[in-house]
Amino acid sequence: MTNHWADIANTTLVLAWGANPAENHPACIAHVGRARFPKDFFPVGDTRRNKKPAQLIVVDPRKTRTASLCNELDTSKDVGERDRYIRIRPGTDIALSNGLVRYMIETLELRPESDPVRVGFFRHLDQRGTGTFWTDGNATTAAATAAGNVSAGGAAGGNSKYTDARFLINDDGTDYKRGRVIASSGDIVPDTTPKDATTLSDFPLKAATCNAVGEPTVFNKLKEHVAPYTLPVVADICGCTPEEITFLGDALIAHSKGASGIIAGAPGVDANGLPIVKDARDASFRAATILYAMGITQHTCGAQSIKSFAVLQTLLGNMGRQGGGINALRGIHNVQGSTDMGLLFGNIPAYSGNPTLQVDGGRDKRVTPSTNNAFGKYVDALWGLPLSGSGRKQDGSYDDAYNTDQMQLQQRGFYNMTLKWFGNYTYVNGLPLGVTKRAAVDALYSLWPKGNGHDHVTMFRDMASGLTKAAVVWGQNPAVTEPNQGAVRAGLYNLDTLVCTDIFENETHAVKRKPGSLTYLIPAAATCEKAGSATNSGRTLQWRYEAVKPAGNSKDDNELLLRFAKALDVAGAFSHIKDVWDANGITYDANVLTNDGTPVYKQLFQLPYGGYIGSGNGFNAVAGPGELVNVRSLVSAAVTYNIVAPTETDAAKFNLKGSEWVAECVYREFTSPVAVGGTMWIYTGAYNDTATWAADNIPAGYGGWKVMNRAKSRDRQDPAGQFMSHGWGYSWLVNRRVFYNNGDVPGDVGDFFMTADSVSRLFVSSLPPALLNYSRWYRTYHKLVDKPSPVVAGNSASPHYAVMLGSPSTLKSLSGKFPGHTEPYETPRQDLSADTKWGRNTKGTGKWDLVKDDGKTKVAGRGSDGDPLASKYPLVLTTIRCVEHFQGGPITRNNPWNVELEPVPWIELNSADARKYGVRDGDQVRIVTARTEGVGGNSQMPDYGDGFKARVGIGVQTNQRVGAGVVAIPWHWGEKGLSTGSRANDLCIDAGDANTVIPEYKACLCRIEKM
Amino acid sequence: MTVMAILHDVDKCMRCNGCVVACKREWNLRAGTNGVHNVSADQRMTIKSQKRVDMGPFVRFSCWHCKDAPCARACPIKDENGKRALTWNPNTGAVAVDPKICNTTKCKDDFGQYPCQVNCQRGGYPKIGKPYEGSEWFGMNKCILCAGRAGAEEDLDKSLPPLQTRQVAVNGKFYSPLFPTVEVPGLAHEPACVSTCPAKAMKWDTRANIAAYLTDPANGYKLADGTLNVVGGDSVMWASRKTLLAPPKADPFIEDHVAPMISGMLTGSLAKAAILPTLVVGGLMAISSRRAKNEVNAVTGGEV
Repeated sequence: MTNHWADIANTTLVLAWGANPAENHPACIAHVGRARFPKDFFPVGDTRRNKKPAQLIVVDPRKTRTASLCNELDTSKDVGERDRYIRIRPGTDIALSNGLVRYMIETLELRPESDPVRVGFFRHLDQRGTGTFWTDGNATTAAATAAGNVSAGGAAGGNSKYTDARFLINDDGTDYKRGRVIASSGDIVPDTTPKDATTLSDFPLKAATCNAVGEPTVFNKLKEHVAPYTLPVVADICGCTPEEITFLGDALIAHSKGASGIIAGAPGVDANGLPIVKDARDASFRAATILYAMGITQHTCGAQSIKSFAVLQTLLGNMGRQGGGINALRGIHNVQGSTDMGLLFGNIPAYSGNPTLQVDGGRDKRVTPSTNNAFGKYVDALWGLPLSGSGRKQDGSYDDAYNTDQMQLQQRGFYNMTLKWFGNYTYVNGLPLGVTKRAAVDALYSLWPKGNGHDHVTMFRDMASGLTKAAVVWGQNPAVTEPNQGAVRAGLYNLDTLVCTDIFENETHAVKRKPGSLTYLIPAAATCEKAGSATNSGRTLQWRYEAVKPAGNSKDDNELLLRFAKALDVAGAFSHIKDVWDANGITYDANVLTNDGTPVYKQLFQLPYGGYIGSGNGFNAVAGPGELVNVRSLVSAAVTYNIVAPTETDAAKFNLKGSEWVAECVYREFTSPVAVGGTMWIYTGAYNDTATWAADNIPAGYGGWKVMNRAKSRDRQDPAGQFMSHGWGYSWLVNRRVFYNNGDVPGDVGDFFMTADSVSRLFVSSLPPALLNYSRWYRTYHKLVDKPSPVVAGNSASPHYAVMLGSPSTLKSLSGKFPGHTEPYETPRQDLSADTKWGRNTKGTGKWDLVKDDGKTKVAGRGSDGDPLASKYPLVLTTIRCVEHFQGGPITRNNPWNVELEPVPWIELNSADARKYGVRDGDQVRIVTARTEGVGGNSQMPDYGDGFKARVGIGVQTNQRVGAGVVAIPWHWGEKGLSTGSRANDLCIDAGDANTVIPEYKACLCRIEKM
Repeated sequence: MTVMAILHDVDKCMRCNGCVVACKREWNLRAGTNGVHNVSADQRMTIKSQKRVDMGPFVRFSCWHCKDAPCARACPIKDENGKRALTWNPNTGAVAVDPKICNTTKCKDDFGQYPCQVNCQRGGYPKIGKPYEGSEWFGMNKCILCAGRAGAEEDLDKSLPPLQTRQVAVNGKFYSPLFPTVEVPGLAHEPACVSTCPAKAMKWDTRANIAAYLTDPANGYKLADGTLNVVGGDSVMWASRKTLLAPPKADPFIEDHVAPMISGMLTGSLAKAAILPTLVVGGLMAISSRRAKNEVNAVTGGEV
């Protein structure tokens, strides 16, 4: 979420698009309720009652329970302000979004030039920043006012504050037009000017206004790009009505930044041209928030769909505002934490890309001093000082790359990780700058695994081929959750060793395995049985206490990990680390000598994580000093904090034991300020025991922090009355609650778009990552790897043709740079998916298919059986979730109460389709896709492999859950647990998004058979 | 103490059934085997009546806690001090059963029916059975507004832990969620269902406060003809700004278990049919009209 949960209450338009929070994020609904019914939630006299009650618009292929919350007939409101449910065909979100962009721009441009909303719209896009912006290199600052437009003779005035709408795009549409800036004066000079230490290269050029006639500005190009998305075209693609598009477009305009704060028909603007009303409690405040979830992401165009929301909200000025933003609703309380921690295959913790550059040309695990400064070159790509290029700040010896004084947050975090996770931080950090330190840091850097792991689709293919021999499945249930179970189970079948860690025996552990293979099930502790921090969707870290001891012999994850480490250590798995240390003179801490295990285990695991000894006693034997946090007393602002520093003598009160102490040790390591060795740069300061801890990163008015472990802070104060609650937990980055706020959100930690490259982007460059010397902040290009449209050069039948740039010989679509509609991989509208029309998403590597080209994925209409699409698989299958069950189901399908509530899966069908196929409500039917066609009897797919069998529920004529041509099924079930049922993922296609490999769970083709 | 009540805002409910699970957890009730759509004998409250493919409004079914409740008046079982097993407490509004007094082997009337069930004017919310798994006691069982826990009343069952209230005390005092300056000590005994509701669709306050809130035209519950779109009125109320409310007459338990018996009764002993008037008043009409509507819509299958 760019904003956070409590901030939803500030909004005046809740747009739930591809999300069903009423069922899948029930805790979200109270926040939506506060936005919609402020008078029900806030007592008389509370200024928050004055805000405009929010409108609720739900866009979804399915009329969800969230849609049922809409009050579409509320006669107390004008028609345009009423709630609305809009049904679209699965996988057509970008078409609707682009249609909205076209409609909104067109509508606003038709309004008179004095219209306050129009004025506000363009004012936001053109807004210049005030003051100076930061740069790097030997040039330090440049006057923002002088960075103007080269083609207009320079000095067109001011750097953009919010958006790239005024930036110019080059002729081939791959990147911004760029020039050089003389940093001392801010003058922009042509690229032919020689570089020297005071020029900033690659600086984007801008026009004076975003809609300057004849200029190739981002805004003008966006207008051209969305030109084909007319109302009839979009209505045809989406299966909605033009009126529904205009209704939504009008509502978004009415809840944009430009429409906010309009008093008596005139925009409320202060002397600097900034809107006066920024406070959500004012009745004239307007903002729209987009809540999205898996309905948006689980498509082959998932990343592009989210990009389309970024375009919408950036145009509307709703980024970085109270009640605005793009808010991804996370399905688990700690999913944000898991991505923060780098569990995805392309990231290390805190969103740095996996290290790839090896020390000295591919020779990793250094046992001789390195010479190529590989660590320095890697951190060069991170947020912070540029080390190469014309504006570099680097002395001849390269020492700056290893100098903690010169590092910004991300660079310092990586440095701390490298030293702490692979060696002795105290020793290596204490080395003086020079060859010895560079060699030592490079030696530890050489221990990082290099390159990406495999995505979750490829992973199971590798198991089936025998490349991967063993797998540890930790708290997951891929035998239910992964698409195309035939391929997944073939992989699991073929493993030599499978280790499952879960709180129940799940389908993955019970999967059919080849003879002679080994399968282990390790009992894990449930969430309430272990301590630690969880990071919620709003990026807020909150502590979770150990409420009860783990049941039976089950173990805390931390304990299991340490036991694994100990076992690996005993087996000699860490000997290469010792070799590297010895060869490079890296010592280990003297304290480790007193315990068992090798120095490597003791240095890397035992010492930092609470002295766990690894045999027998487990966590119960360890304890350490914490702080006294009286949780019950903290929930009321009226109760004084009962906190005393941990140096107090009442040791029993502060003594943290077992799981609480080990989790505290881990937490302190990764959340301490990076300046004192914290490893997770985005969490920096979430634990703070430095001299200034009480006042760091909390606005005045809260009276400072009361605890050092800020995940344990439960200060419910909201001094500004604006749902910021900076004292409740700790939000990354540095406790700001609204991202990209540009200082516009009162009471929040300031967050500035400081440079030309960190304004919010409408346009995405497709060039390979490069270092931008002018920017201290984000020096790599924003990049998406997919090319959504097929090659359309010269093909005037394609709608993409209309947005060509330049002359016919250089025709290029801007799809991919701007989001463009593509059809789902399996689509019933083959007329639209043809290469000459909208096409399907591609990877852009010359390989057209996003599915594995290995014969394991059967694709309707593209398989060996010709193209019998229309007759064989006429319906769209979409998967859904229900409130009663959780993800792959091991937790809820083993809980009798949940099973009572929702004992078996079901199928949702439209009554028109039911009539067509002769199905009646309550009939037992079977859903078949190309993946399950003829699979019955496959020994690796017991029970359900030949289709999804369940009773069908059919809406009544006036109240249809799904539209005609669509079938919806829940995917929580499998063959284990108290409640068993068909697996939806036997059916789903494993075509994935090219950027993220998230599968297209939400749209494939199927047919329905009566049983 | 004052009469407390639950206000169920139908518009905000999204049928997550969190209240049902909270009730079961609080009272240690077992899960049925047939799904929530077939209500167990010991189900104290439920959000029912909707098929999976239907849409709201979602309505809470549970005892209404009638003022001077007829079921309590009809209860024939008393202890040595003259206290009835089933009582309406004017100090709290709760109609609660004391398991130490209730004796279902002695209270059946001439027709073999339990007086509390027969006299329930809302369709028979009292159920006879074991209140929770492991209980040695077999008796009348229904929502009692979580009375008898955490000192709200006498401890009805000391084997259960005290009710966990999530209401926040400000300097040791509790204030009305509807009128923040009014002190409401009874807030400390908020029922588990209300505490749990993630949609905040339920409010726990004094009946007087809720009445004042609902009748204030500014809050939007007044219909064009001047009547309130509110049903209930004792210690459980339903309100909506969106859907015209009809009283949730039938306890779904009747629909699942009792109504199917009725056809058998009609052909059996005529005497047993004496239960019919109560059922007809309480719920049969609602059941049949709902069934008929479903048939019109060609919906003939079971709950999905």
